[in-house]
Amino acid sequence: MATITIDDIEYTVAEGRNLIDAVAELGIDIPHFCYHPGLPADGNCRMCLTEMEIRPGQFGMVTSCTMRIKDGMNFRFNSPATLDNRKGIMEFLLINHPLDCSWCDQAGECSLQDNSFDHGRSKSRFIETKRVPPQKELGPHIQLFTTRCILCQRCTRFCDEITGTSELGIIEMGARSEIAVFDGQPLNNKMSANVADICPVGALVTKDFLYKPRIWHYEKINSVCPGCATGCNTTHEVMHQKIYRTKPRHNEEVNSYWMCDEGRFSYHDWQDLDRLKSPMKRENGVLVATTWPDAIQLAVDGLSGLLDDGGNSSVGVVGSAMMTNEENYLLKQLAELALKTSAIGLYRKPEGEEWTAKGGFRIEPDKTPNLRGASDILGTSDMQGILDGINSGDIKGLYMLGGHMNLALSESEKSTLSKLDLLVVQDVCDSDLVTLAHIALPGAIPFEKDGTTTNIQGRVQRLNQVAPPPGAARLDGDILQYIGQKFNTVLGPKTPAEIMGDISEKVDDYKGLNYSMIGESGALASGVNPLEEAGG
Amino acid sequence: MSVEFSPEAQERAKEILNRYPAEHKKAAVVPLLHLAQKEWGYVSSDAMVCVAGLIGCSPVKVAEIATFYPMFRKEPAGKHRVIVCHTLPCALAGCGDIYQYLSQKLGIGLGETTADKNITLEKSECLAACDKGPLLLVNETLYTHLTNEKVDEILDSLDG
Amino acid sequence: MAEPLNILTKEMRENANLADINEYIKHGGYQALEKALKSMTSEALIDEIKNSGIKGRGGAGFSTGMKWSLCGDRMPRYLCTNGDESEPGSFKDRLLLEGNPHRVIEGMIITCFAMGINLGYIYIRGEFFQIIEQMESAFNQAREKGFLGKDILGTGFDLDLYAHPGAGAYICGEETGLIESLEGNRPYPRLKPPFFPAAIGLWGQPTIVNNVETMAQVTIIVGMGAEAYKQIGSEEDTTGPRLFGLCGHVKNPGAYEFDSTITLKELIYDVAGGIRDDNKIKGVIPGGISAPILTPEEINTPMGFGALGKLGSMGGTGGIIVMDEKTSMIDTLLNASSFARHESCGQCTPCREGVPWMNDIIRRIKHGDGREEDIDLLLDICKQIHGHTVCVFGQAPGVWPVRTMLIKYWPEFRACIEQKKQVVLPVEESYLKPHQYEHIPPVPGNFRMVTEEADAAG
Repeated sequence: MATITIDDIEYTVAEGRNLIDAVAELGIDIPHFCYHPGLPADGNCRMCLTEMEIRPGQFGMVTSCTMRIKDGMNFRFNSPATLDNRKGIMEFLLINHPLDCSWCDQAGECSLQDNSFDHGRSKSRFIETKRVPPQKELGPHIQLFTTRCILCQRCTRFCDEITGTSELGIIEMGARSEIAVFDGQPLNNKMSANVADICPVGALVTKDFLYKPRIWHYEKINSVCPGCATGCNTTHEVMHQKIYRTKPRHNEEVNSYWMCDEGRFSYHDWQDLDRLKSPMKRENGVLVATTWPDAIQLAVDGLSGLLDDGGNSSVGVVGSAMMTNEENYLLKQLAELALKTSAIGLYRKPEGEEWTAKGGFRIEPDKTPNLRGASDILGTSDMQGILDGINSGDIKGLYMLGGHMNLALSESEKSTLSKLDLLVVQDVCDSDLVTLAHIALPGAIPFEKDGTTTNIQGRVQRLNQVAPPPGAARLDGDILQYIGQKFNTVLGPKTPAEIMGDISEKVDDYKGLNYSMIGESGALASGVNPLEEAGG
Repeated sequence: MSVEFSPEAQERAKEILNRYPAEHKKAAVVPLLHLAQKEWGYVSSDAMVCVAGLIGCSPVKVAEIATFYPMFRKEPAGKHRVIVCHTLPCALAGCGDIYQYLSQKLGIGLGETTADKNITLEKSECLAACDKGPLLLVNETLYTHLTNEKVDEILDSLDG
Repeated sequence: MAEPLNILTKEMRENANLADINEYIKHGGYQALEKALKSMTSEALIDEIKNSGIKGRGGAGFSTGMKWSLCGDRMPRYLCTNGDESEPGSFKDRLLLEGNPHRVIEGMIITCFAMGINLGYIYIRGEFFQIIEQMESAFNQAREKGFLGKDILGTGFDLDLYAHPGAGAYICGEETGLIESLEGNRPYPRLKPPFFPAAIGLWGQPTIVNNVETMAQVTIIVGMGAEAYKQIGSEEDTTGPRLFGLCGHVKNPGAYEFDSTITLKELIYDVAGGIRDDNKIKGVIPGGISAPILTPEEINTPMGFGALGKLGSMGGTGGIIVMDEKTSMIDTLLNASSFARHESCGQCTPCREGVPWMNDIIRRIKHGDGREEDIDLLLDICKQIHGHTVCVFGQAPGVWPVRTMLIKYWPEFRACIEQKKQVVLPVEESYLKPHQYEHIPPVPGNFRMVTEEADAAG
């Protein structure tokens, strides 16, 4: 720790950090544009210049973004020199800036707007002609309103240092400089949309968010991306229970400040999914809609019948890496307490593409958010045993959780599952599972859930509900509790938080975990990764 | 469509690249762009891709360099590049009159090319021969102590 | 008046073919190199340079010896010789590179030997086509003679030097802009601290960046010794021979070798023959366009860096631009401001936005659209730019020409605004007397006011 002086008052701050970050922890804001904590500092906007005693009795201006704290440093944050410079920089940035606020998407989260209140002029002194460089489409997701750009170079630094793809450059010279891509080489890396997040003004925008309602209309709901095992922390911007935008949320241990484009825009596909809106039962080979009481009773009767005829080993359950820890826990409880079977499996979705960015951000090949959690909770990491049991004729009935957007079973999985006398599934849309099911129960998608998932690092992270399931669909945990009731068993407590209490007692690696400890940035489950033990 | 340097230019490109440590090939970008301009008369997008390949970086990084420096032409222009220095010492020596004379005689304005595509008229900043102004840089040759008569002689000497 | 010198330019007067290494050797060339490599250690060489008191000839006037002794220890180190002479009014480096390339090379080799450098570059303006070719062939000649390459003069010292071209950007003359350009990046100058080239330079390594003329001076210092060198000029202010380049409205423009005790007045009238047509003098820029302008009251000053600094101007590159009574100051200001606008790299906000803004206002004033408030606005913009930029371009040539011309030639600019057209006043009416500067709002920075007493003392 170091002691520094700011305007004649002493403070204790972490040594070695840059001044902007160090004093942010004290609640002091140093205005800045080009500095971003996830990028190497550049010092080109000059907004963060602050007076510092560089020699005894002599003060000079230093960039706060590059000044590393050392014990004894002496700053003047409110001197005329420091404050006048901010006014000067604001004026310079605004003289060529278009007065677009009324239709610019950045309104409400714009660094120029924000700093204008404190440091800007109310009347412009500029009567010359503003420069008007043309608007550009930089890539499939990103539009550049070049007139608004303040050339802070956050976007070029991002493409050079974080993705390593270097699609963006600055062409021309001086005041004619512009951000550009090379003809035929658009900005299309897998994390391109992050440049719109980090752009401090409305220059770089996603086409996705173009002209959508103002940001102050949205409720912000924190969650975790369900796209892969990285588990990027996210924030959904929601109005009337609909997601209008998803942005990454900073978590230095997981995703830093970033998320991939596919995950970011996946909310469209999820929200547009043609959902199962009511329970279905198979009659004469065709699935027909029915009521919850009917469907549940059929399922329970069917499972009980198989148990009576063939014993406990004739029925099994299969969990899902799309379901939360709490939901998979309730499934385990169903197996142990209600069905009294030890045939428990976990469906493994085939892996997809993996990608590691230059700066270390990873897109995992496992395209589910909770394989690690599900296998921790269920005590198994695949369903091979179940498939063998079905093929040998031992297992005749299966209770399976789905919840994937686009689950595609392999031919051999399909042929095995079609041998079942009874297949009860919880799913969200018309999938291969539903096609084979005798009873299909409509469940929830990740945005509709409260609960936790565990990412590939073993970090347990919280999801928060954006909207309730539509139509007659229900939360998957509630469906399982309903089934349990019909078996005269209480599978677990009511709320996900309470269920985590049970998990923390019953599952070794989750000992001591609770929702307040997990908080907004998650907490690590201890212990060995069972996926690694089992050979992945 | 891609472009390749001629064999002689490829030799020269190799020699240029050898001047810099192997892990710092990017340092060769400016001399290679000069080579490209000499080869093709200007620096096209294809030329930028060619240079990018030689130094191992993305083409936009070469575009960043090619568009920054005034010496690189991004468009094909006249066969002869006639450049008037117009910074203060030359201005005091009367470069304004020389420029006017040239512009009228050639019938073109700043940055424009004669109809026969022979001459492009440009201005530059200080050419570092301030005691000998006004100055004219015609392609690679510097002419000093310009008068209208000298301008006539120079223009006559240009082929095309 | 100080005597003209014949040290730096000696063999250039006698031989037009010094690019041929054999000719250069006939005039005693490469003897300083022998002396340095065979009879001096690195420490001794660095001490000699320090002792000579030489100030860098690239414009900043920083002590060369101090620059060398501050060089970081990490290896490898590099040398970048700055031959990107782009300062308007400056043409001395071209002269040396054209007329005596081997002297520059010799200085580079001695420098590299002193600093433990095995790879160096000379960054030459892209427009100097023939000079670049000549330098490459000079390097080859030096290699053939064993002055470059492996085991130079049998001392075990290896060195390779190459020419590297610029491409027309003034900002590549800024030492960190030069390094960025050489690395193949956009030549955006670096933040100092921490990127002082002596600490973190070319490819992140300690780098010596020295001007072409400074390299030539190194051979002089080694040849005659620091003690003798110190006697030239003024030990308190600036030592050694200087190449002053006179241009503009003098009868005999050209480069002249003198020591720094010569006055500006003597250079203009006694050396360069006075003003053309015997006109009256209106103003002088004493060190390249970035240097604050001096009025006729202020030209009786020695040309040392310190003396010019006291006047609120700077020695810079010694490029002296002389303007006579027929000169329109608004044209001069517009020219200087347009130069700054064209050469601003665009990296940082104040220079990128403020310099073109000032240029627009000045252009308006010239064309008769100036407003009452424009001069104050210009001075305000100067204040907002000054000291807030990444590199010194924002100050010079960004702010200094504007601020000093506006203040000193206030009457002529006011006349342009009041009469709504371009006005050239009679010389005596066109500028303020030094004591009148007190009434102009002061701005932090290098500009200092000349008091009546100092003025009277001459």
